[in-house]
Amino acid sequence: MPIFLILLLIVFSIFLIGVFVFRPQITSTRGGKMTAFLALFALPLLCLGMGTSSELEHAKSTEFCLSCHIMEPYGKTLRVDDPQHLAAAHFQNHRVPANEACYTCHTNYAMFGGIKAKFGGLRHIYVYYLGTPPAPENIKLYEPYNNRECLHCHAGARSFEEGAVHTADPDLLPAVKANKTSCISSGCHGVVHDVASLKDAKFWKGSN
Amino acid sequence: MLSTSPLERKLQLSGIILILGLVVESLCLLGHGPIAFMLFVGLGGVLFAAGILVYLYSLVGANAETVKQ
Repeated sequence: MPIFLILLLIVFSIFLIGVFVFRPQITSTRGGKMTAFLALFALPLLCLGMGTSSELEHAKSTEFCLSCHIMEPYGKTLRVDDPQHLAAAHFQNHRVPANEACYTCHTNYAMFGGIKAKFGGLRHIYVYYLGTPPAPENIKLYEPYNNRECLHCHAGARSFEEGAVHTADPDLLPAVKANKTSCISSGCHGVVHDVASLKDAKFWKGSN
Repeated sequence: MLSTSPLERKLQLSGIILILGLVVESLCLLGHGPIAFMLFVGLGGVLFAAGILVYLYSLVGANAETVKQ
């Protein structure tokens, strides 16, 4: 839903509520009571619902995640001109939606993953504004990255299932799928957000 | 400006709180950072809840007054 339409609804609601603030006596009629219910209950709930939906959707955006100063280096790693950099390769080749790059990989694809991600975000805001945020290179995940998040897209894909390296050892794919061998920390796709070596990195200039 | 009738006064109070909530919501929708999100959830949500509760309370209060009479 475009923000413009939500704002239009908000302006209409304010106008209607304003009528009841300045002329509360109109609620003495049946029609007035019904309109009051609409203005003071139904419309505000609708505005709140639509606004919340819009805000939650916006909170998934790459722009939103990178709006915190501490996340800037992580945003830069998305533009590193090196296909060995996992995040950069995914972002630049649209393996993840470019406008929701952070959220796509860092949400949890289990049942309550979206809710867990929102609570994680609240914790980030708390640490950023009220706590002692670590240096960007010292930021760690709360828990080891689960292969489930990679397999959400890659499982079943030919390049994944039949890739030469993946099939060289018959035990590898079952172990990866069971999250016993990590895609990231086992050394195969280890360079994700290498913020420590950004000074020497070359950057892709293209637009996404 | 506030009415002398308790029911109408509660409706006016509810309206004022809801207008404040709607203004906060619209400002937050125009903002882009996490602070806007927090204000939307924290301040906007509280104002909306308070406004709607005052409205519902006014209905219950009006009903109780009718029963007394």
